[in-house]
Amino acid sequence: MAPASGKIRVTLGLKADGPLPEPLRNSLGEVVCGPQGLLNLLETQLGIPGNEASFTTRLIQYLGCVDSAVQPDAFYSKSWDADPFSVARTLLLWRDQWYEAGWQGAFPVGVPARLADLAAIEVIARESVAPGIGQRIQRIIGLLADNPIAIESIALRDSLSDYPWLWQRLIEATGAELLHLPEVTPQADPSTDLGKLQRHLLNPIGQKLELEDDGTLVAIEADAACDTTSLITLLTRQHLSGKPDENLAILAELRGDLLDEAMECGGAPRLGFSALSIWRPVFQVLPLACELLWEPLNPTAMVQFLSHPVGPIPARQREVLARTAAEVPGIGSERWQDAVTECLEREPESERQRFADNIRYWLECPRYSPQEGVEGQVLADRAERVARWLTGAREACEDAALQSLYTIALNQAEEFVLAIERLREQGRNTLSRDNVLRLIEDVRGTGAPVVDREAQVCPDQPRAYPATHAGTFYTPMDRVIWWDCQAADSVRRWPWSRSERAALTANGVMLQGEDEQLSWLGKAWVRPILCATQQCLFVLHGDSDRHHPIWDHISSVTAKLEIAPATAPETMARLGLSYANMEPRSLPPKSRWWQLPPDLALTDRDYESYSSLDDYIHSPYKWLLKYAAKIRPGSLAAVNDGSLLNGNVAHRLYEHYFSEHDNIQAIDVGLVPAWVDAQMPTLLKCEGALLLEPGRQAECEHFIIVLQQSLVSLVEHLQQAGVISVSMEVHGEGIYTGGKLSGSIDLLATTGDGREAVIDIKWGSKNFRRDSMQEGSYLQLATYAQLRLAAGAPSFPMLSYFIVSDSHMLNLAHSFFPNAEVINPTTGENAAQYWARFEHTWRWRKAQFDSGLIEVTVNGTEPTENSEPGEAGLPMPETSDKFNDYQFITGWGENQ
Amino acid sequence: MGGKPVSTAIHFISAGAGSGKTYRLTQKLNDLLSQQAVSPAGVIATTFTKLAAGELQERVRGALIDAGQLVVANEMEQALIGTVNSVCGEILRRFAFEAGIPPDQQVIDEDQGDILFYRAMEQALTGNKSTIRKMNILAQRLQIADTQTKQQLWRQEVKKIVDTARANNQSPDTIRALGKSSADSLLAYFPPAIDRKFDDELLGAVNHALAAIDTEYDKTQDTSKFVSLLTGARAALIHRRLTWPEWISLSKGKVGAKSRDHVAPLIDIATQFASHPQLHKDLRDFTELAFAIAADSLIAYQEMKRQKGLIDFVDQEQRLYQLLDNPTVATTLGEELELLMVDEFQDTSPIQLALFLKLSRLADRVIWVGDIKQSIYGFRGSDPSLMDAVLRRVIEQGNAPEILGDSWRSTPELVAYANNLFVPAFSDTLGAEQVELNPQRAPLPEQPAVETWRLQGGRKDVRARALAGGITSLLDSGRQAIDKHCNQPRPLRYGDIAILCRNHDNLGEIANALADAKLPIRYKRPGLLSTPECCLALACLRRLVDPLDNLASAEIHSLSTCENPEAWISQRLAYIEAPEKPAHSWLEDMQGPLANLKALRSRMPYLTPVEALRTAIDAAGVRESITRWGPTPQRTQHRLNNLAALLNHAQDYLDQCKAQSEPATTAGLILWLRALADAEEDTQASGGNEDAIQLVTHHGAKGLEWPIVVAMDLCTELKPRLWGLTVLPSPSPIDLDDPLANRTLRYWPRFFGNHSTKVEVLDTITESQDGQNALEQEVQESKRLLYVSLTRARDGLILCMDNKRASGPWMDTLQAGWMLPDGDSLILPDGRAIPCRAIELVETNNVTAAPPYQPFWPEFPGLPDTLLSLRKNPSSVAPVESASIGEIITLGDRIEVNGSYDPATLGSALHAVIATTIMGQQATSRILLDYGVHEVISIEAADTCCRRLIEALDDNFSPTAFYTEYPLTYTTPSGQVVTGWIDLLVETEEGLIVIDHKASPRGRSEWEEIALSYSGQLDAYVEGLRTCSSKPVISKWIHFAVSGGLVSVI
Ligand code: SF4
Repeated sequence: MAPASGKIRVTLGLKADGPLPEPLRNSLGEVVCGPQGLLNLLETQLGIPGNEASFTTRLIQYLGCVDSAVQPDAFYSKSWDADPFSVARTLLLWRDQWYEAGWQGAFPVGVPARLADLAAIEVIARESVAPGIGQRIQRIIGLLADNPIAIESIALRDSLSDYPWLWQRLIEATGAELLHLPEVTPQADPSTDLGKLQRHLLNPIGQKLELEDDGTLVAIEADAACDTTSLITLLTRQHLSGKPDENLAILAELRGDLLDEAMECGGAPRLGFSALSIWRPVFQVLPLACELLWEPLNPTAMVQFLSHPVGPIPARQREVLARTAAEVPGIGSERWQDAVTECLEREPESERQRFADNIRYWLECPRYSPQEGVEGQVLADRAERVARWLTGAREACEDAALQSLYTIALNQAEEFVLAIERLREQGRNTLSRDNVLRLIEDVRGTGAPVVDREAQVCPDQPRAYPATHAGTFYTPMDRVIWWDCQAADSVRRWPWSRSERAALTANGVMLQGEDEQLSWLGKAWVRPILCATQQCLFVLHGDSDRHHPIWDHISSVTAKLEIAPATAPETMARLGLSYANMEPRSLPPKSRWWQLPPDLALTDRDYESYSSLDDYIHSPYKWLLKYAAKIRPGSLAAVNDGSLLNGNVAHRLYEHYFSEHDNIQAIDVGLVPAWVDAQMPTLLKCEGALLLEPGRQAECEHFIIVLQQSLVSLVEHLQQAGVISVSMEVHGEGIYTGGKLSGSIDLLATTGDGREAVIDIKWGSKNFRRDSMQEGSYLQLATYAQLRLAAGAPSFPMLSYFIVSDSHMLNLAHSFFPNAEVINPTTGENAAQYWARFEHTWRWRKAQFDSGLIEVTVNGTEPTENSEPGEAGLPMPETSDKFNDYQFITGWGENQ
Repeated sequence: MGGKPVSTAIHFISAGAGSGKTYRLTQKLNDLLSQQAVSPAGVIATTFTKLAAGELQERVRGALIDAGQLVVANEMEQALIGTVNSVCGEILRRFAFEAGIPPDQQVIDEDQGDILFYRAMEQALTGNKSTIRKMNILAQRLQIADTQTKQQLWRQEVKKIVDTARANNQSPDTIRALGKSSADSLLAYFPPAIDRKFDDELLGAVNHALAAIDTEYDKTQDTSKFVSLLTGARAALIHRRLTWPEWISLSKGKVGAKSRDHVAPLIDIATQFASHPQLHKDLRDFTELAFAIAADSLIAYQEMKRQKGLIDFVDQEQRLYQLLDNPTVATTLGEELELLMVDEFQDTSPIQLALFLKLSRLADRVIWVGDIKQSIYGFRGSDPSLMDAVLRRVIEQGNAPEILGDSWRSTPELVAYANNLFVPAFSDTLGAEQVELNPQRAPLPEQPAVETWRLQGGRKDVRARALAGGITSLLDSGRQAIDKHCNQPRPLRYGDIAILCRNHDNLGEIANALADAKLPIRYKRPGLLSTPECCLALACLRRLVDPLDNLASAEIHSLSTCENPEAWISQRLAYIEAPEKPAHSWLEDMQGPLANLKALRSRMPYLTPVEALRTAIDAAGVRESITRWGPTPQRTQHRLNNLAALLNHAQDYLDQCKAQSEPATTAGLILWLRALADAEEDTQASGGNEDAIQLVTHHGAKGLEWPIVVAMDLCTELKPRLWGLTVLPSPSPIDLDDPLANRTLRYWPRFFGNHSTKVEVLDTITESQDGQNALEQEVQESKRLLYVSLTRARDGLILCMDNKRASGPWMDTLQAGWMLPDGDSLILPDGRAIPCRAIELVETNNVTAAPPYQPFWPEFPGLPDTLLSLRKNPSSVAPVESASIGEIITLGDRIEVNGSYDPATLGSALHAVIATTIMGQQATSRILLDYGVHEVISIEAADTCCRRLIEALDDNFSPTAFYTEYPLTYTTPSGQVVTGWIDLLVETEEGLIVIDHKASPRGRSEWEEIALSYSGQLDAYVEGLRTCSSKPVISKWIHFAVSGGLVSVI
C-alpha cells in the first residue's frame, strides 16, 4: 500500500503576511499566513515556479502592448502622449485589479468605452505580460480541479466574505476543510476601564463610558513621533525584564522604523520594523552619474557624487576631488588638474592610466543639452559601467546585507539599460534630461529597507511582538501599545463610474466594494484593543495628519479619558518608568577672555599673512582656533558661492586680462566687453560653475555685465594714472616686528616714471571699506606696502581699493588715480605711522598670547580694560565675528 | 450638459468671529448624514488647512458615533474632506484621462513650483541673452533690487505677474498685452518727456560741484557723503548707468550749508528727472518686457511641468475648472456629488472661487461658510470685492444667507466692545445684522475687558521691555482665565496669552524682550540652524559624512560636554603636538559621541539622508545633551521640538528631490539645509503644545483664539497697493458663469528706491483717482484685519500704544476715537459701560524667577551582552564539525541532462516534480515547461528521479507516510525562531526520516563532501522535529536526484 501523503494545516488571516503579534508555536505541518503566503504555498504544492516578475519588468512589457494597441480615440491617448510610463503603470494596475476580481481578459462588444479600450490592449498583453496576482490565482484555481494537493484545513481568522471575490474562490477551490475561527472577543476583566471599553466598542450602550482611570487604558501624546520612541524603548525593556511572563505587543502601522532605531540606541533588541526607501545611497549612484552628463556641469551634483559613501571612483581619490570641487566649483581649472594629478600620484604607476581614464570618464565626459538630450547609447554605456562597478563592489564586499543592496541597485541599472533599448526599438534614440530622470524613477521601484537591520532577540529573554496592522491581532496580549495611532488605511476607491461598475460586474469582474473594505477595517481596528488583557496604551503624535479613526471612536464614547503629555515626569511615573535625575549642564557661556595655561607655549608660525595677522590682532580667538589648534571646517562648508565666488572669478578674469594686455595705455576700452564675453563661458565652467546652475542665468548675465563695467572702469583708472605696467598676484615676502610676512598683492600698477600703486580688489562692501579707511584702518593694504618695501620699491606705494560690484576706486589719501574717490583718514596719519601702530598692537597681543590670555571678540561680549592696546596701538573694534566659522564654539547667549 | 443653474442651491452661512462656525458645520453635516439625506461617499468638503480638515472629519465622526451611527461613522473614510488643493488633486487624479494628463501626476507644492518656474523662465530666455541683459540694465537703473543684497529682483517681479495672472485664470496672450496698458496708465501721470541732453547737463553740473566743493572747508558728514555720491554718479553718468533713485537723491542735494551754492545748478537739473525721456523709456520698456517675459515664462513653465509630469496647485484648479465642462466628468460627478461644502470661502483666490461656483452646479446641496469681514489675504491674491460681488449676485437670486448671530467665544463685555466698533465701521458695506453678535457667555465683571497699555520709551527695545514687564505683572496679578473646556475660572497660564504684531521684525523685538524676562514664548521664526540643538545635530551629520571636518568635532565636543573652551582647546593643542595621530581623528579614540559616530560611519552606505541624520542624533546622544542644557523645562521641550523640526526640514529635502526626480544624498541634504538657512527659511518649531506666550502676526492670528490678546502696532502706516502689481476690480455686474471675465492686471515699476516724499510725480500719483482707489482698498482691508485681531480674545483684550501716540493710521480706519480706555470703565457709544483699565508701563528688569532646572533621563538598564537575530534560517546554519557519512544508497545511473542551464532552476524543478508526484499529481511535463527546463531534462528522466527515490524509500524503510515540502517552526532555547520547509519527511513505524534533495550534477565521488556541507541544515531540522514531534528521528539523508544517490549523514 502506498504511503499516505501528509497534509498541512493552514491558518489564514487577511493581514497575516506581515508580522503577527503572538508567540510562535512550535509546530510541524502548520502554517500561519496571509493571502500571499497561501498563494505561495499553493504554487509550491502545484509545482509552479515562484519567481515572479518584478513590477518594473511587467510595466515595460505592458508599455509595449499599449504602444501597439493605442488608438487616437482611446480614452487614454491624450495622457499617453503626455507620459506613456505613467499611463502604462495605471492601466496595468487597473487590469491587474480586474484579473484579481475574476476578469477573464476579454469583454463582449457593447461595454463602455474605457472597458473596451483596455480589453483591446489585453489582446496583446494577455500573452506578453508576465502574470500578475489575479492571473496566478486563476491559474491555480484551474489546476486545483484535477491536481490533488496536501492541505488539510484552512482556519479563517477573517470571515470568507471579507476576502475579495477571487480569493474566496481560491480558498474554496483548495477543497480544504474551512474552519471559521471566532472573531476576537473582549479579553480584559469587564470591571476595568479596558474591559468596559472593549465591550462598549462591540455593543455601544448609548451613553458615554465613565472611566475610572485605573491604568488599564492609557493615552499619551507628544508633539512628534521621535519624542516617544525612547520612552517606548524604556517601557519595552522594563516590561520584558520586570514582567517576563506577560506578553507585550507593539503596534506601529506607520513609521515603525523610528521605533527600531530607538530600540537599537537604547540597547533593546530591534523589533523588525523597517521602511522601504528609494533614497539608499547605493541607488543614488546611477542618477548622480547621469546628472554629470548635462551641460552645463552641475557642480552640486558633482560634490554629491564625490562625497557619496559609495561610488565608481575610489574613496581615497574622491576625498581629494570633493574638496577641490567644493572650493573651485567647476572642472578644468588649474586647481582641478592639480587635484587629479595628486590623486594619481598616490596610485601605483601601473594603475595610473586606468584611474585617470576612470576619473575622466565620470567627470570630464562630453556634456549634452538637457533639452535636446543625449543618445541612448551614451546612457546605456554609463549604466552598464555603473553595473560593472556594482558587480565588482558586490563581489568585493563581505557583508551579505550590503551585497543584497548592491544586487537591487544592479537590477535597477540593468532595467534601465533594458528600458533604453526598448525605447530605441520604438525609435526614441535621444533622451532629454527629464526623460532620463523619469526613466530612473520608473526603474527605481519602491526602494529597499535598511537591509543591515533585522529583528533581534536577547538570548534567554522574552521578546515583544511587533505588528504593522491592527487586523493582525488575534491572540490575547497582556499589554498592547498602539504607537503612533494615526490614520493609516486608505480605502481603495475605484475609478469606475456606475455604468462601468455595472458592466464589469455583468462580465464577471467582481470588484470588492468600498463598504465591504470599510466594514472589515471596522472590525480590524478594534482587535488590538480587544486582545489586551491588562493594559492598552495609545501613543498619539502631534505631527501626524489625522488621528486614527479608532481613536476618534474611543474618545467620543468615553468621558474623562485624559491624554497625558508623554514627556512629563508624572506620565513616566504613571507608566512605572524609572527616570534618573541628571546633572544639568549649562551651555558654555560667552566669555570675553579665555585663559589658557600660561605654560602652553604656542608654536610660532614660519610666516604670517595679512589674514592671519588680522585675526591675530582683531580676533585672537580665531587665530588660536584656526592657526594654532588647526580646527577647520570640512569640505561641504567650503562650497563657495556668493561674494566669495564672485570675487574669485573677477580676480581670475582680471589676471587673465592683464596677462594678455600688457600695454595698458594702448588698450581700447571699447573692446573690453567683447573680450569679457568671449572669456566668461570657459572661465565659469572651470571655476564658477555654480553660476551656471539652472535658474541663475539672469544673475550670471548681471555678473558678466558688472565684470565688463568694472574692468572698463579699472582700465580707465589705470590709463588716467599713466600706468604702463600691471602685475597681478604678486607674491612677496617681508618682515614685521614678529617675524616674516608673506602674501600676494592683487594688483600692482606702475607708472612710466616708476611710481607704484597697490590695489586690493574687493567684490563689494564699498561703504565698509570707505568707513574703515576713513577711520584709519587698512591693515591689508599696509601689509602689501610692506611687501613692496621689502622687495625694494623705491618709495611707499600708493594704496587703493577697487570695488568690483560698484566699479569704484577708493584712494587712500592720494590722487594717483585722478578720478577715484579720495579718502583721507580722520586720524591724519600716513601709512608708515599706521604700520608703527600696527606693530605696537601686535606686540601687545603677543604679550597676551604669551600669558595664555586670548580675547574672544564676539558679539554679545563687552570689551574690558585688557581690550585696549593703549595710545600707541590701533583702535580696536568692539567685536569682530563677521564670517566666523567658529560661532558655535565660542559660547552661547542666555536666550540661545 | 449645462448643469443645474448656478447657485440655486447655494446655502450661505455667514459666520462672524467666534460665532461657533465649526460647531454649526459639524451639526449640519451630522444632521444630513444621520438622516441619510447624504451619504459619506457623496460628500466633498474643502477647508483652509489640513488641520481643519482633520478636525472636521474627527468631529463629524464623533457626532455620528454619539448618535449611534457607527456604520456611517466608519464610512466617513470615503468622504472627500481636505484642503482645496487636496480635493482638486483627488478629483483630477480620478479624471486624469479625461483631462488628458498623466494619471500619476506628481503634485508640487509652492516652493517646488518656485524653483521650477525660475528654471522655466530661464529656458524661455535661453538664446535670448540680449533680453536678459536689457532687463538687468533696466532693473539696475530702476533699482528693482534688494536693498540689502543688491540682488536684482526683476525675475521675482515677473513671477508675481505670472502668479497673479494665473490666480485670475489669465492666458499668456492676455498677459502679453498688459505691459503696454500698464505703462500707458503710469506715464499718463508723468510730465511729458522733454528732448534735452539731461545726462550731459547733469554731468556738467556734477563736475562743477565736485570741483567747487572743498571738503577741507566744509567738513560736514552730509557733504562728505554727497561727494562720494557725486564721485560715483560721475562715473555712472559717463557710462550711462546712473540709477533713477540716484537721480532723485541728487535732486535732494543734501549738503552742508557751506556747499549749498555749488550744488544748486545740479539740483535744478536733477529735479526735472520726470521729464527725462530715458526714464519714460525705461519705465515702458521694463513694464512691457516684464509682461512679455511673463507670458513666455508661463508657456515654458507649463511645458516644463508637462515634460516632467508635474502639476502645481494652480494647475489643479485651472484644469479642474476646465474639466468640469467635460460631459463624462460632469455626469459622473453629478451622479455622485450629494453635498459640496466650502469652508472659509472668503479666503479663496479668484480661480478657486470660479471653480467652486462651477462645482456647485453639480452638487445636490451646496453650503458655503465664511465671513467676508475676515477676508485679509488680499496681499496674496484673494479679492474681497470679487467675492462680495459674487455673493451679492447669489443672494439676489433668492438665497437668503444664514447668519450665525451668537458669539460663543468672548465675554459679553468684549462682544459689546466689538459690536460698537465694527457695526459702524462696516456700515458702508454691511448691514448691522451681518456684524452684530449676541453674547452667549457669562459676563466677567470683575476683570477688565479692554485695557490700554501705554509703553514708555523712545526706542522699540525699551518699549518691548516695558511690555515684558507688563506681562510679568499680569501673570503675577492673580488674573484668571475662564477655561474653555469646563467654563471654570483658573489661574492664567503663559499659553493663555497671545501678542499680535504687524510684522516679523516687531515680533522678533518682543521675543527678545520676553526671553530676557525669562518668559516662555513660542512663535514661528527662522534661525533653526543656529540654535545650539540643531548645530549639534548637524555637526554630528557633517562629522559622519566628512571624517576631516574637525570643526564639527569641536562643536560636538563643546556642546556635549559643555566644557569651558579653555579646557578642550588646551587638550586639542596638546593633541596636535603628538605627530603620530592624524589631526582629524581627535577625540575619536575616547569613549563618547565622536567614537560612536566613527563607528556609525560604516553604515553610511545603507542610510538615507534622513536616517543618517536620525542615527547620527541617536549615536551622539544629542537628545540627552540637549536635555541637560535647560535652563527650563519649556526650553528643553522647545529644543526637542526644534530637533523634530530639523528632521522635518530634512524630509522636505527628500520630498523636493522626489518632486524633481533628482538624486538625494546626505551631502546634498547638508548643502540644502545651509541654503535654507541662508534664505532664512529654516523655521524653528512653532511649539504647538508648549505652555508659552504665543507671538504671532495679526494675519497669522486668523482662526485662533486666546483668553488674553495683546494687540500691538495699532498705529501702523497704511500702505496702499499702488506700485508693483495690482489687480483691477472686475467689471460689474459679475457674470456668475464666468466670474473672471475681463479681469485686468496692472504693473507699475517702483522706480524711486527709498524716496517716498518730496518727489513731485509721486505726489501727483498718490493724489490721483488710482491713488485714492488704492487707498480706499487699503482702508477696507485694514478694517477687516482689525476685526480679525480684536475679536481673538476670549476674556481680555489689551491694546498697546507707544506712550506718545493717541492714535495712528491703522486704528483710525475705524474712526472710533473712543476705543482706547483711559480709566476703569469705558462707556461705549451705545451707552453701555464695560470694565477697563489703562496703565503706563516703563522698562523694568523684572525677571520671572525660574525654579532650579532639574533634567531627567530614562534609566536604561545595562546593555545586554549579545543580541541575536530573531530569525535563524536552517540553510545558513554552519556544517556540524563532528558530522560524518553513514550509509550510501545508490539509486541508479546519472540522469541525462543536456545543454546549459541554471543548476538552481533545475533543482527547483526536480523538487517540484518529486513533491507533486508524491501528492498524486501528474504534473511533470507542465513543471518542466514552466521552469523552462524541458529541453534540459526529459519528462521520463525527471519522473525517474522521483520514482527511483520512492522505490528506494519503500524498499529500505517501509514508510507509512510522506510529507513533502513540509513546514516546521520552532524556537531555539536561546529564543531564536527557526522556520523551514523540509523537502521530504518520511514517517515509518520506527520514527522519522529527513531527506533534503540536491540537484547537483557532480559525481558520486563528491557526494560525501557535499552531503557534509549540509549537516548543519539537517541538524536544524532534526532539532525542530525533536521539539515538535513525539516521534524520534531515525536518520537524515541527502538525496542526489541527478546523480542518483541517497547519502546518510550522521
Ligand atoms: S483644562 Fe483644566 S480647567 Fe479646563 S477642562 Fe481640563 S481640567 Fe478643567
